[in-house]
Amino acid sequence: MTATAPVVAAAAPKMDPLHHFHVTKYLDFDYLGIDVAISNSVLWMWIAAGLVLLFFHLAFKNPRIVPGRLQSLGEAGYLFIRGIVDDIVGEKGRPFFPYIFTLFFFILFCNLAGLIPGSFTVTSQLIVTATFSLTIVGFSFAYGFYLHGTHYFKFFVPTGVPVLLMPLMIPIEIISFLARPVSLAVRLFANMTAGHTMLAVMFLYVVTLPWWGAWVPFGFTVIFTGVEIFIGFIQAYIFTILTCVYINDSIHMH
Amino acid sequence: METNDGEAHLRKPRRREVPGVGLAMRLGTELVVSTMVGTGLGYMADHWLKSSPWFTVVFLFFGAAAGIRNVYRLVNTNTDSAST
Repeated sequence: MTATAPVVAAAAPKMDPLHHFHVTKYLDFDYLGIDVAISNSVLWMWIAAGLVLLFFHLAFKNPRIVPGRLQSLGEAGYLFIRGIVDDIVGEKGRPFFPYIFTLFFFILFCNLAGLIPGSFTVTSQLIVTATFSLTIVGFSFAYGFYLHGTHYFKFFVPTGVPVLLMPLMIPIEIISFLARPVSLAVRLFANMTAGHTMLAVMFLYVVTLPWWGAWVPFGFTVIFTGVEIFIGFIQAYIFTILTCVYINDSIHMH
Repeated sequence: METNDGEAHLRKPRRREVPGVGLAMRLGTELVVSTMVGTGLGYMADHWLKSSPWFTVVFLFFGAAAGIRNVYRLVNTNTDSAST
């Protein structure tokens, strides 16, 4: 195994399964010392955002009372997110609905657009998902503090715990709070990266194996692409659910 | 757009359960990340106070405990909003 690995790597220098995660700059811009280059990441974010806009534009271009196929898909998407927000946060979650709706569809389309061969998966970059999660958790913390004042710190004091255990429980609660943005970011990033790496490795086998062996990994990639579409949905869904849960926590406390 | 369905959600709040796969995917990361965050905090505290292994060791266990607590809470409530 160790003997053959460098040979394969040397024979096929371009066959790096992590190659499609590289960020390459197309246009280099520098604004007041801040790097605002147009990279493939930025490009695919725009494409995903454009696809969302296009989808909803087409869905509601000429709305009918009895919706057509695309319109019912759009309505189902709307009601789906609205159901999540109403169920988890309730009436007070309404002001956040537009943000949560945008977040879900943007992440979903980023995940799905990343499955197009030759594209770039925006959500496979930790910095992108970390930006989302830090914004969400930071905002929900600030909002909770705004609503409840110093009373909000009771959030870290679990109820129904003997006073003797408090020195133990409070650090645990604080760590579990601090783990929120990290786990939110890492989950989406890890799922997308792992899935795409696996697909890339399988395609590597398809290319390197002789024709009579190649169909096994090829069949696997076909199946696994389907699984990846499902994972793309599930991850966007989990991200949305958790956003609602965190906002709900800051509004209603315990 | 008809909002009848949306209004129905308001009147009758129902439990929303994440599909099993979603729950399973959350459990693993929750455990790992909490431990990582705890250890990281301990390491930073050590770095700052120059008290080499002590905070790292203690916070490793705090982090692991936080992870287990998160998983326990998650499974207990089945991600039902109110008490997560």
